[in-house]
Amino acid sequence: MAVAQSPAPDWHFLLPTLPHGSVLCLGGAGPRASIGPPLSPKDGAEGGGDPLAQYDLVALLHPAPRWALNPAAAATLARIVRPGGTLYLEVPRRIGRTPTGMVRTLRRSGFSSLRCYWPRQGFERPDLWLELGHRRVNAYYARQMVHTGSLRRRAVGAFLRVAIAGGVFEALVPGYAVVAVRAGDDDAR
Amino acid sequence: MRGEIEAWLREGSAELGLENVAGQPTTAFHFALLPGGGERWRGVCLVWRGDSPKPCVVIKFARDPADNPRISNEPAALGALAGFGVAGRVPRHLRGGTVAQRAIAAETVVPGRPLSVLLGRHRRPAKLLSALSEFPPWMTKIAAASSRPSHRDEAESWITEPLRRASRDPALTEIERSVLDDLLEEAGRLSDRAPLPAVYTHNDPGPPNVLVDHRCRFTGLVDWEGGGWGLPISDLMYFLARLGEDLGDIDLTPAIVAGPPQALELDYVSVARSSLHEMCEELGVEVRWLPVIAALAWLHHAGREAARDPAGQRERLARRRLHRYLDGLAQRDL
Repeated sequence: MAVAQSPAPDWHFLLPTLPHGSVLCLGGAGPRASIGPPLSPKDGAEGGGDPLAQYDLVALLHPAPRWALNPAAAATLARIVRPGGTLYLEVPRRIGRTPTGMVRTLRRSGFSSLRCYWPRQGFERPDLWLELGHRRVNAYYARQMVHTGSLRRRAVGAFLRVAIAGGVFEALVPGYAVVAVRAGDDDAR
Repeated sequence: MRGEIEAWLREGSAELGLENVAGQPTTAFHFALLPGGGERWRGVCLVWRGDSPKPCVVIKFARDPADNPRISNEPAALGALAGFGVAGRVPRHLRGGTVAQRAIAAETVVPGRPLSVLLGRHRRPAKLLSALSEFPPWMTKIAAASSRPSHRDEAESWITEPLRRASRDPALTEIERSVLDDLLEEAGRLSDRAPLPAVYTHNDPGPPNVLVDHRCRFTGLVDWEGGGWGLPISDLMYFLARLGEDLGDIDLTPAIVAGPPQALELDYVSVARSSLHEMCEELGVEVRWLPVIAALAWLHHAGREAARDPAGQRERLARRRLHRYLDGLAQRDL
């Protein structure tokens, strides 16, 4: 069992509860992965590790490009997250699908309470985690942060507002994180 | 921790004004998390009630279970401000508590966006300062409402001791040390003749904490965690210096050491000088204090940054600003 170390990385605060119990942290390095030692994918259930092991929290920090976040991978994740446990998944857009597609895939695999966040400035040094999928929240961001300045900036602001109103803002973010709770066995049935 | 914060919000929904029209606690919240930096990390969450277009509550919480003055000081500062007639332009503390063993506080949202978002895109600094013309009188209002004679030990710890300690700093050049000694001497003379009052200060009114509307007009000042009693004019001085830096490295020294403003001066330094002189007049502060207060503003700022993040980048930046200011004074042969 891994023990949480201080200071907690920012993404811990997006989880329903702060990490406790058994934790599997794949990928990432440095302070962001400060729950126990970062493990390689081989340490997980897919590799030589215990295929029956389940964890209270599974965190995939910035998965390598070769990882395919497809329905089969989602099913694997569902198998290694304990019912009632939490999944934290960082998805760079170059390897994954849109947040909507990812949410759909994970929901089909038995996850619920799904929330997506866009880390502005990237996963390493985000200065804002903006919850995606809520037009009012996203429109507020666009109004506050991109509302004046050069002609180019105004054009970007106008484009963002249209994208938000049209519900395609999520598809434009360069990366996002998903927080999901594995439904209990009863819920799954 | 988000789930625990939501439970805390629901538990205090009446106190926080988060009930829906039927008087029931709101069940859906949306979050935007702004992580803070440094050793004293502080997370800030904007919380939307399910149906509201704007966030309705700001939540601030500590990263670690240990005491975090950035969370625990602010409610007292906001409480003190309530007596100075500044309602609406500063947050109102709503609720404090503990979530997952971490200090947490909720306050109202002040309308506007951070001034820092607009900087770098304004090519006419004086025009921006004119748009912000309500800010210096507003700061003067707080200072005037809170003004009281300073005690001898306050004057010692706010003025004499920091200058004396700074002049022993080995990082100073001989010229800088000599300027600092002159300021110390001047402070001693002025303290006998025209002592400074104590006023309530924000202590970090930089562009990220000053909120403005879409026309760049001042709407509010947030993040009062460093609020407390201090020197008059130091907040305005700090704001003008930071704004000048962000707008294009404008040196404020001429506004501090030059004489009274002339009519129809429109450049940034002149507008800044007018604001400083008006505040001096309003508070009955001798203008010869200005060069001393400017040095103290940077010294106190460096001290606060050191307490927040020892040997951090922001402290080094504050020290550099002090050196630059002292060099500027030396060139003007104070």
